[in-house]
Amino acid sequence: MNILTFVFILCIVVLLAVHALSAVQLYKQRSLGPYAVPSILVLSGLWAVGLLSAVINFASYLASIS
Amino acid sequence: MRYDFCRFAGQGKDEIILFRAHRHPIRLISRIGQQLFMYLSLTFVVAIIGYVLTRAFNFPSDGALINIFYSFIFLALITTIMAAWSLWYRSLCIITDSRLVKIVPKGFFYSYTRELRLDGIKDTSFSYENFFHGLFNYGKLQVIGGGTFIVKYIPNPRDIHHYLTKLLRIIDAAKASSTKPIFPEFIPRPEWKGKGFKKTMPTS
Repeated sequence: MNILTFVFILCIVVLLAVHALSAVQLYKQRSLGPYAVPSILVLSGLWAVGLLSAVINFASYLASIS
Repeated sequence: MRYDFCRFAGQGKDEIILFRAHRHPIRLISRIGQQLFMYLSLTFVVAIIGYVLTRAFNFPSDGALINIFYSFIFLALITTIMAAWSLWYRSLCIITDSRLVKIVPKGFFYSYTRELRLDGIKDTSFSYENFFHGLFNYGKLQVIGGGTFIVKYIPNPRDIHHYLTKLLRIIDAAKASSTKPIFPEFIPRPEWKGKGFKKTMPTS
């Protein structure tokens, strides 16, 4: 594993941790109002799209240098 | 009841929520806007550095690396929106038929909760602290009871102040006549005009 792959995974893990903690805390307080669960679904869906995009771009970069 | 959908930790079974409010949405928008500005600035700086490196030093331009960078900017933006939304959504000011509750989340794992019984309220005041508070109609509500209870960035502080004053008058009248108080429910603007305050049933 080269340094770029390590940095890529590290960034993903940090962002995922912040996103997941925020979502979990919001879900635990879902009784406060009706928008908690839909907002988690929408934002997590967008996050998944971003992750897919990052992974595809990273894979294409690895393919281009090898 | 208007706020039946909301339950908060420590709420009694027969405790009725008369009013609830998050901080004004402009606080959420401004926090997300600050982060967006930071990410756009970072993108701009990276673009300039990339341009200088490719033009001045003939560095090879790699589109795949740039795409990875933009993907991370997008991920960071979504993560920021999630964190800001989570903090904003969990911060609440609630008035029930027995107390005033303020919930302020501090980070991911800790939230600060403070409450004040309605019959312990001695004085209330509100203030608009600057031009934007007046423009967007949000400000600071200050309630003095067993200490000072401050709720910042609350929307419609004037209406809530009037509402609290009305609740205090009702409590005083009920105490004088030794009856159970019947509290009006807070109806936010623009519905407030013409409808007044809606009375709730007396609690058992």
